[in-house]
Amino acid sequence: MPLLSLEQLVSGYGQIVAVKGINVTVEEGEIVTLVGNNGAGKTTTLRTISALIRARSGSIRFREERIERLPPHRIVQLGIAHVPEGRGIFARLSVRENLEMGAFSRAGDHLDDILDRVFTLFPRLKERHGQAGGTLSGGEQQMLAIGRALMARPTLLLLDEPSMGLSPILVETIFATVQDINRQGTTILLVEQNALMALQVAHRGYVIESGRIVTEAPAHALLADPAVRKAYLGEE
Amino acid sequence: MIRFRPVAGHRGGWLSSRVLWLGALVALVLVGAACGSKKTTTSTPQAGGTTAASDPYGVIRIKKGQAIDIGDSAVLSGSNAVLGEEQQNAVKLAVEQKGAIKGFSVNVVPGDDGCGDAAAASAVANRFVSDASMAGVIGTTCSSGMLAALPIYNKVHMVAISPSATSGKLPQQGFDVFFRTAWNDDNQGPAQAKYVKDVLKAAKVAVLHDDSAYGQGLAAAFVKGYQDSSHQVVSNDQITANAPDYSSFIARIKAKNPDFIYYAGFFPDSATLLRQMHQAGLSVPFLSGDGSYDPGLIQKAGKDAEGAYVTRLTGGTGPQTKAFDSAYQSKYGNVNGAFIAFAWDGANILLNSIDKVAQVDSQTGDLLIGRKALRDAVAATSYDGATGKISFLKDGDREPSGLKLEVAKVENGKFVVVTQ
Amino acid sequence: MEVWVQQVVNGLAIGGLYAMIAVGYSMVYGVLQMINFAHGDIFMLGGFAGYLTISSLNHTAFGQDARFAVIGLALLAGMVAAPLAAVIVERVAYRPLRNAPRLAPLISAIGVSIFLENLVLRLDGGQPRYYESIFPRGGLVISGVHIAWGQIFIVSGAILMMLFLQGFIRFTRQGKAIRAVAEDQKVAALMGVNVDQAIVVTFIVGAALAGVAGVMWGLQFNQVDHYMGFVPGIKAFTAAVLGGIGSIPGAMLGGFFLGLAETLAVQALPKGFTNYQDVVAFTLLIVFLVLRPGGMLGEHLAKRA
Repeated sequence: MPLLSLEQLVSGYGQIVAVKGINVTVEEGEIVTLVGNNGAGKTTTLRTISALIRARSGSIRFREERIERLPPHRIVQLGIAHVPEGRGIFARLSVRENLEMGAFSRAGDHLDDILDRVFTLFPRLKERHGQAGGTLSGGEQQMLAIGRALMARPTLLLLDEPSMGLSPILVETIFATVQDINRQGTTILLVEQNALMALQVAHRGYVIESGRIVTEAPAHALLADPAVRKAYLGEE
Repeated sequence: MIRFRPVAGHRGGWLSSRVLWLGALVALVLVGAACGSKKTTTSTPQAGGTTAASDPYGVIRIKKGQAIDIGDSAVLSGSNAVLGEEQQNAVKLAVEQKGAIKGFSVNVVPGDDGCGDAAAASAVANRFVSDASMAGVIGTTCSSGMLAALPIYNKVHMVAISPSATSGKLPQQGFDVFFRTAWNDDNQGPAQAKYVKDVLKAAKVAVLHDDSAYGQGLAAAFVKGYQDSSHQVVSNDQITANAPDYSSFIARIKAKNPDFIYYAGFFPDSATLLRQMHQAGLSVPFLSGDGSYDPGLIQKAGKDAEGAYVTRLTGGTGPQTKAFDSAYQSKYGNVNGAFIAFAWDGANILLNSIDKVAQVDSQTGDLLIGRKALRDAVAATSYDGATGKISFLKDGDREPSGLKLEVAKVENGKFVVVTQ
Repeated sequence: MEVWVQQVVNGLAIGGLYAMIAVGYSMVYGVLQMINFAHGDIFMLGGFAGYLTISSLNHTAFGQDARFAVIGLALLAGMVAAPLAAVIVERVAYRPLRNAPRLAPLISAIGVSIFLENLVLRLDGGQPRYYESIFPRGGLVISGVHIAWGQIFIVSGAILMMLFLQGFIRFTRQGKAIRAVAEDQKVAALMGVNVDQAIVVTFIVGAALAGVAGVMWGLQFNQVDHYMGFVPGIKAFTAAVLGGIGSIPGAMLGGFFLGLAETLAVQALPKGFTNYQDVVAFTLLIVFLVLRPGGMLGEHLAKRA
């Protein structure tokens, strides 16, 4: 039984249909990545899962339960946390307040141990806990965005372009942390333009083009696939 | 070094400030509209009837079986609404007492002219002049409204008799459709001044008015009559009409140490002044004119109204005074408002004049009322009313001979007349 | 000198009322970037709720001290009735336009304002209603400066409610939700915030303050009518802009500032111009929009709140 499964999912904005009937499954414990070019429908897929966009048709199942009609705040309560593209830091709230907002769906929880866990993963956040979110650097903001999502103790973490705008070294760090998070038991659905990095950390991958899934395979197989290497890894 | 501040927060500076601008614009437009702009809209006069009754100003034709309309332009909402309601009651009472005119019933059409709201008074006037069955109008209640409405009535030669618009400016407008049963403030102001000097013996008066046509005129007339070598006007300020808070005005005049407060304006603002004078510990006598001579003053000011003086002009007790008082009282209760009897007199003059000039068309059975004939009949009025003998001067003002000032003082929640 | 101190007292009292109304403008703007022009009429409804409470409870029957209970009930009535109306207005007139161009909700708000005024006009007639004078008369006199009990009541009430509101926004779950929505609706939703609910709570809180202000207004100035919300509403909008729209302390600061500016203007203006106090108020609005559209505090709800 997959943790998450998208079946014939169609979604988009206004007149634009960005996702045209895709099937994706994510098993418990996996890192699954969705790679593709800009505008292929990756972000739309994640937003549809977390209900920021309504699915036009098809279904989204989380632990067998249909969730495509639920409002966004219910999705979080089910255990799906979404780190949005551009990070979505609350610029005027402090780092700590941002993290506390992350735990909003876990009313009544004691925050101390989860906060410790996040601070262990991202020591930088601990140093800057009183600072306004908007004053952090790009890398720190990405850490904050991921840390904030972890505060909800999600079963499934949706990551949208965590490498965007970061230096290669920072990207390495972030992806290493993503693997850590996964090893600690969180399932991850990762959307990336940086296909090389994504496929290196993922177990399985989907290639999405113009709103359709064109390939699905274990990550190492995709890394070895000449067509994928040519299209997404910049090889001649 | 100069550093620029980010404007309107981080979220798309110019966009949010554009919304604020839009909001400010809307706010100011709304304020402007509420303050009332002088608006004149033209309206085409009714085509004159081509019947036996020809009239240079045209003829009003009331179809057989229909009613004669009488307009009642009064303030029916807002702080001064009591005044308008009293006016409407009096007009309805007169119409009821009169009964049918030459077999035609009379119908009172109300219009809310908002007192000082020129736009509202013009709108009511435009509505009235476009009513083909309307013979004439009682109103407006307030002088500002009358200034705005008169040009509109004048265009179609529709008679407008105000029971309470007392500004000295009105007869000067040169409109021959204008009449009023109330007396000119130029009579009241000096009479008040004389009373304040001779009877109340105040030497240092602080004058306030509400900047309306009525308030300005009355205050000016009072000041002119009051000021002399031994009587000083220590301050003369205008307040914003219908504002909730005059504490700042009271503090301002209190600093001038007046021994008397004179206010020209309407009762709601008088009440607010009295309440806040009390709050500010300014305990000197207070006097206001006919605009404040209404039980609403006592209702609104409560205990703080005690000891306040109000004045109005009366024409002595004509034979009709008692009859009217008891008729009004039995129907509506209290008859203490300054202008109720004036409204009843005005309505009677209009109804009697219609009765005098209206003719029934022998062929169609319609009622015909010549506009000029009606105006001339009103102008020629000699009528013994509830407010004394009424006739009009050439400019439409009420003939002033025989009037006297009535002063009342609030005692135990009632107006008690203190002049003989 | 004494007269200026007196004017400051007068200005703080009316300013306290502006401040309480301004908070609602500021919060709704902070959350929706929308100017809720019907807010003044919500304030009016609060004033009427207080009137109905006081006039239907015969306080004299229970002795002098019962009036304090009646005043308390009247305030409570304003605090309940105004938010009730605001919730309906939000649901019917604003929520359907959440994704429309920004002009649309503004126009809708003006429509609601006209509707509410005329509704009360129809239901109650145009006659103003007078609050019974149940509030204690008199006050303190400190070296010639008169401070009425009503003025003390308004200023302390306004400050108390602001502190309460600050605590609510800062420390409660709903307050945090509102701050998050003010920053970014979409991300707030991803945190598990029920955005619709947070917006409704914003309207409720703003309306509760306006409703209380309406009752205080009635107690202090003793008249309520269908049109009473118009001018104070626009003054409060002005106050919100002066203080920095979107900021709660800004709304408070702006309210007191505007009240002071108005009353000090009456003292300072030359003879013949004393009724230009509103001109002063709206000139301030324009000056701030040109020179400092962010207002005195110039922050959004989220940070300063």
